[in-house]
Parts: sequence; C-alpha cells; structure tokens
Amino acid sequence: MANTVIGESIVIDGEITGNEDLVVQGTVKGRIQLTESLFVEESGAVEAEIETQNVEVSGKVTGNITAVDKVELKAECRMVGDIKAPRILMADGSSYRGNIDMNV
Amino acid sequence: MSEAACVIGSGIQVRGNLSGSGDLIVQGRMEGHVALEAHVIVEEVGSVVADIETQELTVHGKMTGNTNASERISVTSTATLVGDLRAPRIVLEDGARFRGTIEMDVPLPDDI
Repeated sequence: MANTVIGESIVIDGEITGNEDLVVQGTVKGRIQLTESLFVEESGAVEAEIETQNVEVSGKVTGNITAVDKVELKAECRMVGDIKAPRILMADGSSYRGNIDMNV
Repeated sequence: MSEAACVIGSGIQVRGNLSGSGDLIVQGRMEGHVALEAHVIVEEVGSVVADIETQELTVHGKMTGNTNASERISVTSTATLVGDLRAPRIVLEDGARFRGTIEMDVPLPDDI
C-alpha cells in the first residue's frame, strides 16, 4: 500500500483522514483521523487532535490522542496532551505532560 | 519517486492548507489550498480540489481548481482538469480533458 509522508519542509493546516499509515516529518496542525498508524518522526511537529489505531511519537506532539490499540512515546519525544488507549508505552528519556486513560 | 518531500497516499484525504517547499505527490485526495515552491504531481488515482500556487504542476488524475505556476503546467493524456491555469509554459496532451481559461503571460504584439 502506498505510504503517505509529510516531509520536513511541509506544513499542513487542516484535516487529514484516511485508512493507511501516515508518517509526519514536517508540521501538521488541526486534526488527524486514521484507521492505521501515525508516526511522528524526530523532525515532526503535530498540533492536532489525533484519533488512530496506533501512534508512535519520536518528535513533538501537542494535543489529545485517542488510539484504538497502542500509543508509544519514544525517547527524546516531547508531548503535551491527554492520551487514551488500552496500551501506552513510555520510553526512558521521553518528556510528557497530560492525563493518561488506559480504560482501567 | 520516494525523493518527494511529501506523498499523500491513495488511502488518505487531506483538507486544509498545505505549504512549504519540496515536491508533493498526490495519490489520494487533497482539498483546500496548496502553496509550494516545487513540483506538484497529481497521480492518476489522485484527486485534487484546490487552488495551487507552485513552480511546476503535472496532472495525471482529476483536478478542480485554479493554478498559478511560475514555470510550467502539464496536463497529461489521462487528466481531467477544470479550472483556470496561469503559467509561462503550459502543455495540454492529446487525450487530456480540460475546461477553463489559460493565461500564458506572453507579451502580445501591440497591434492585436
């Protein structure tokens, strides 16, 4: 399946929806809604409400995440916002502020 | 093709403003406004409803909207395009479907 990449030099202000993986190396503001995985890479900056299957954050995220499956905060990531997901992983070295809801 | 700065895959819809530098390939759906100092390519499976400001535009798929390109616009044989085009060089291939105005910024002789 085609891979969607928002490159480092790209800024999107609006809404992204779809049913395939999305890799963000640039800047996205607004809303992201996917039935697959979102990858925010080291150079990526996302300021958005996020609803996906999986999220993997290595860059910066501001906004709330609702994931059906898993959210993974990698080392060196910076995230501010609430996370709701059944599985949440936080690596040593990640920076995070917000509420976590694992449906416990 | 993987050299492009931004690829919008066939399962993705983007609504809003897209700006920056680096090439953009649209295989999915893009609605809104695009401002890029580079090459925008709308693939055969892609569909774009947007006003575009760019250096170069190549349309293989469906597009509705006005384009202002600083270099070149190519409408290939598989393309369907509705909108106004403005660029110094514009190519309409055999088989391309197009409705709209074309302005090439050519200095016309004074006597016409």
